[in-house]
Amino acid sequence: MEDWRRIDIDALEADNFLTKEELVPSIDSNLSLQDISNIINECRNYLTKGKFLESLQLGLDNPPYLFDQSVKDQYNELMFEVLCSIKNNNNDVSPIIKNLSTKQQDVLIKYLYKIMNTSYGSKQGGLMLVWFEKTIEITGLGPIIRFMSDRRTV
Amino acid sequence: MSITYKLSNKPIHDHSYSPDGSIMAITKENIVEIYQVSSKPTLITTLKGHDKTVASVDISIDGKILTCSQDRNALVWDWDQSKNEYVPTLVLLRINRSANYCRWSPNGSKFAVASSDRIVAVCYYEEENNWWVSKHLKKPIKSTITSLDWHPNNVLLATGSTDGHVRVFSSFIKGLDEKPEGSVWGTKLPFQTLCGDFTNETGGWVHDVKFSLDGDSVGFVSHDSSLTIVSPQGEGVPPVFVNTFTSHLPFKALSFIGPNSVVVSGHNLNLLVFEGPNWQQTRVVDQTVKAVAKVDEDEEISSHDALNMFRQLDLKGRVKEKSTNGGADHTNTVESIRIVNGKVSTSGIDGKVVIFSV
Repeated sequence: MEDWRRIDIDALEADNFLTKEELVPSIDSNLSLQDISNIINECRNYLTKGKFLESLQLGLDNPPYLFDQSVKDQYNELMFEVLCSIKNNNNDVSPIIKNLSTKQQDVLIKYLYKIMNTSYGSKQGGLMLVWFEKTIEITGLGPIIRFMSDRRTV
Repeated sequence: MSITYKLSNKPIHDHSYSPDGSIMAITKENIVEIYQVSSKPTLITTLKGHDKTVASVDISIDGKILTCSQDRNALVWDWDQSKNEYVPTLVLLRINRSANYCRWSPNGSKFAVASSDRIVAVCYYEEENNWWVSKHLKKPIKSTITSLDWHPNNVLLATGSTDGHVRVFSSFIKGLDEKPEGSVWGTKLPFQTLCGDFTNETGGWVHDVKFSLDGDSVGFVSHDSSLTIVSPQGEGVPPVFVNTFTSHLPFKALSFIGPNSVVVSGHNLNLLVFEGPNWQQTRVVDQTVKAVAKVDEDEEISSHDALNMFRQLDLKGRVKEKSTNGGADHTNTVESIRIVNGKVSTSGIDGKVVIFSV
């Protein structure tokens, strides 16, 4: 019997596929590249002034979903700095996480996963895991699921 | 209160009741089992006609049983008085991939089968050939359809797919359907009219979709652990869109139990109630029950018993058994939710059917 599982039935109707563009979720964002670099500077400003929560919130509110990987990488490094700086200046990060909105908490988990996957992030693995553990304690499993299913990647 | 029936050690992907609740059908690998439900379900017969896993089963208002399977076929089973058994009728689905989900229309004159072939087959009976023929809803679907639901008017069909979209189509069949009255979904409804196309911000794939009881809203659960309720407001006005993100594992099924309340369940195991207009979680059905039962227990206990209990605790270091799954009756993913005689019935991968009074 012919191995029917190996028949390429998709070839029969090639035009009926989702393109990559169609899978990009619609995002209402008119951030320009300039805006992103302003946000990055602003976040660093907040950090030097010791305004940790403000810095984190600003960073989490404006992830550069629609930009290419180089911009995203730059932003990841910023988030890494913010997270390290907050942890190094605060023993307990839980109160800060509690002050974030549900959406911000979801984005935080996205960045934690992303940063843990980078070379600089894995050197600070313990620190990232503290953030991760504290966040999940507060939010439950939802943000992990959304990290996996969300098409807006960081 | 809930009653649990362990009917199988194989997953029950879908289950369905006859309108009076006396007959229940469950899927079990490539067969469907029919139970008589009185005080306890008793097996009457099995339907053998598919050669791959049966994905979905539905009983129509006039008692016909519809099954669809990963073998790309659907069958309609009707009770034959003379043979004293269910006899299958062929359905010409014309699809090249698995059939995932099937539902009768409210009046039982037609049904829809959702498939991985990016097609919804709307089927109706052709008497001269004694088979069910299908018309395909294709555009603009480009991904697997995981679920569908009928509007009470017998014409509109909501579909949920893996690209994260919920779409509402007209399945109006000339010569079979009466022209539906105009609603929030539109007034002119020829076959394949797209009356609504919704997706939430994460675009997670849709597990289940349902119309509200009045048919004016549509609710869906998707793999981002969220519940979304969309209420269109008529032409030219943006729909009211409420998207609730939860802290649970994703839900696989939902069902409206009132004009402003839905029950959901899935990978989280518990049956949860969400209520509008904000659609926030208001109750965990299986937990509240347990809590009430505990109070009764405490009231009845005498001082002597209490003393004994503590002595036991002290001596043996025994702690009251702690539930590992949040007090849920299901021990694995819930895959379908049905309403029967005002109660909520769920089935899942653990092979259990649980009936809740909500």
